[in-house]
Amino acid sequence: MLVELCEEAVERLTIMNHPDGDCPLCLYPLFPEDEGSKQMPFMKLMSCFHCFHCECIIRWWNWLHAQKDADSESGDASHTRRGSTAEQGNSGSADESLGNCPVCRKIFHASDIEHVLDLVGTQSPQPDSGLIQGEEEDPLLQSDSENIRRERFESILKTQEEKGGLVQPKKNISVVPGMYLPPPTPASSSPNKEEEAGQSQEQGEEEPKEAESETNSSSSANRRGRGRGRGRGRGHNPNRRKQTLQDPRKPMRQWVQRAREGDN
Amino acid sequence: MTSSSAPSRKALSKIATNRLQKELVEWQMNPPTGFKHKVTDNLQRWVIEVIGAPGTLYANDTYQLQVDFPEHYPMESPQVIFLHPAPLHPHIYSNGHICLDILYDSWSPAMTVSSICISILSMLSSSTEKQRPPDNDRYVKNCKNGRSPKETRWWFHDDKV
Repeated sequence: MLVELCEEAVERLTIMNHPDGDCPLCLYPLFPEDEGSKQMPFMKLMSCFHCFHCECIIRWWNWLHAQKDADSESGDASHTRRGSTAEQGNSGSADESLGNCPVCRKIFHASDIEHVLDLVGTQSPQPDSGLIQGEEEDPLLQSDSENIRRERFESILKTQEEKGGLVQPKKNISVVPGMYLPPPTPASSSPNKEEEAGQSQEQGEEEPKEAESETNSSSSANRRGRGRGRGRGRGHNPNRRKQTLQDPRKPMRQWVQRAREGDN
Repeated sequence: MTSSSAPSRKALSKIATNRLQKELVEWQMNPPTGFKHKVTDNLQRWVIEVIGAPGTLYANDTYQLQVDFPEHYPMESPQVIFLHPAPLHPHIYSNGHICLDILYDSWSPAMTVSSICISILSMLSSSTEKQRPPDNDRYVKNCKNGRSPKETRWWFHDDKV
């Protein structure tokens, strides 16, 4: 009974939270009342609380930036588009990261709408360059060496799970290269990608050496991890695992640099 | 009447069409006071009759506004001009161009034809004398061949009228 009441209340509140009225940009309802029509996600600007369809506000945001880009291009021909966007990304100039609410012109920050930027074919600098990088890395991620590495990683993970969890990193550290790499999904951060690139380049004989270097550099992280984990007991396995997976990021970055030096 | 100063422009995008249809429906249900939309089958160009507000210099005068919508409306502002004869007003040139910031730099996609009309009527209503802008002749001479007011570099300085 109580549960039902609560559920009802939550449902009511959710509905009451849906803004009434139309999106000021496309003039169609923010939240269609009839179930039949297509529902579009909407969002609120946190500086003034005006609501828009995500798609609409992003379209406008991209339009503004496309205009700005066009202006700066026509203004200074020596600047390539890439160069100028990189500059904008670095300096984070006020113009780039601020916008005005279309309704009240109140200034809002780009971070207000960042979470929905990917909804529309996006032209903003950061996601764009990320996309290009991802494309470049793709063949690498499907290469034989990478597949082998993944298989190895998975088998290790399996044995670890069979043995009752990943609680004893001490035993495995010295044995397995790459065991602390994140699961074999496409790398989420650029250091990881570069690291993989480095690995597939110096395949084979070099691997023991890599393992060694990784063990060395990550041992401090592990010690830390172990210290934290002590006294928690086995019940906290998932947490432990997250920590140990994230801790070695720093060592991996060092590794990248070494690989690059090797290339030079 | 200078009806054929049609700038060669691209057809409306899907988004623009949807939005304009919606605006038209809303206009028909709730038109702004003092305005009449002249029905045509052209969604991209609206001709709107303006009736001067009572108690102002333009009371009972009627003028015609021509609104042309660009491909990417409402991201881009529409082109709004008065058809001949344009009202005598310190911000309206004899060729019908209107010096009003929201039509150019200060355009926002949240504005509608209806809100533009109200702004223009407000601008007319607050005028204290029926006269052309001081630089009217020079400006009109420079704007030959039906140039769009959107190509003008406007200078918005007077917020009293």
